[in-house]
Amino acid sequence: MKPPKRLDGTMIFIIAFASSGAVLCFALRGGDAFFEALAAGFGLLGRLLPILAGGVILGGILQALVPPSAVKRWMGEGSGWRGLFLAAAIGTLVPGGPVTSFPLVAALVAAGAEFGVTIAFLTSWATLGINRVIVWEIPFMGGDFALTRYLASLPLPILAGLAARWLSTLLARR
Amino acid sequence: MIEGLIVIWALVLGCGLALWRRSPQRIPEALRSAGANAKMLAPRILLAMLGAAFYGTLLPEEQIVRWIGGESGWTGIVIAGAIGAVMPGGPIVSFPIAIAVAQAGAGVPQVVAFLTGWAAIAAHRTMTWDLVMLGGGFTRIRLLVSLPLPLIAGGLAWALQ
Repeated sequence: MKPPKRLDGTMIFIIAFASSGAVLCFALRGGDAFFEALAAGFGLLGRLLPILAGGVILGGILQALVPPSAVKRWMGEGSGWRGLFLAAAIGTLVPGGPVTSFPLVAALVAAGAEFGVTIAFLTSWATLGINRVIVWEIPFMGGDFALTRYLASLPLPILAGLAARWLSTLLARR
Repeated sequence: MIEGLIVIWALVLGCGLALWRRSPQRIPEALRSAGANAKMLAPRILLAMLGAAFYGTLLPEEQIVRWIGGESGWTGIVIAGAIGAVMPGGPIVSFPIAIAVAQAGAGVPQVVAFLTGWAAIAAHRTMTWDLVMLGGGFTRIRLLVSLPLPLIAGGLAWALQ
């Protein structure tokens, strides 16, 4: 997934987020609210930990199990509706953050992959990624919410892919 | 939360078994990348959860309910989608915020729009990823076709409710 770098932009943002929250909470809401929030934070973390641990192990296994070359082969020259649906389906399976998906997309584009297919893949990875739903959304938001959001997002990769095709031919014609 | 626990460990077991049968020599590699990820994620998750808990006490609940509550309709969906689109950071930051906002009274379609804006439009990703790896033309079209997606997902979630 992500290279284990200690202090990147995200880490700095999170540190600023947590420390400013702590200061503001203590200053504006007082000591009682501060310690209540602290306990609530640790409590939620404790409940999420067994799931997150499973998610991290699953990420490692999937990376070893699904070679990127296989994904590329399936998406390579696919076009038409089949290409869009295939790209959307594969996008749901690619685990990890942009570190996993973008090199894949860049390689596809370089190999001459069709525009709409690439957009469908990226949109699917971003909105329908199963890995993210299991590791983040269900633990945080609950199964009901996750199901509603997932169903509502099902058409998005195809719509985005079609729109991208239409837009790119429109721009190419001009 | 118990469903998530069961699903994830069943997947770990199933996929682990598949890896063990197909290419057992890659198991150490899988564990190594999992370990590296865990080491990177642990401090981030701890701090993000605490930060979200602190900010949870500060959220102006009435304001949130008025702007993006269940009754806010399309206006709320647009506002929530726009906020999501400019949210920086990965799921470590966005999901704690989504849970805090939902607990403060935001509506389901609005939270769906927020998460879709963050995931699909993802302004924070364009600088570091789209532009660097795929170029300006690709980035422009991806942004354009992604703009309506939070509204579509939010609207569909509204219809599904």
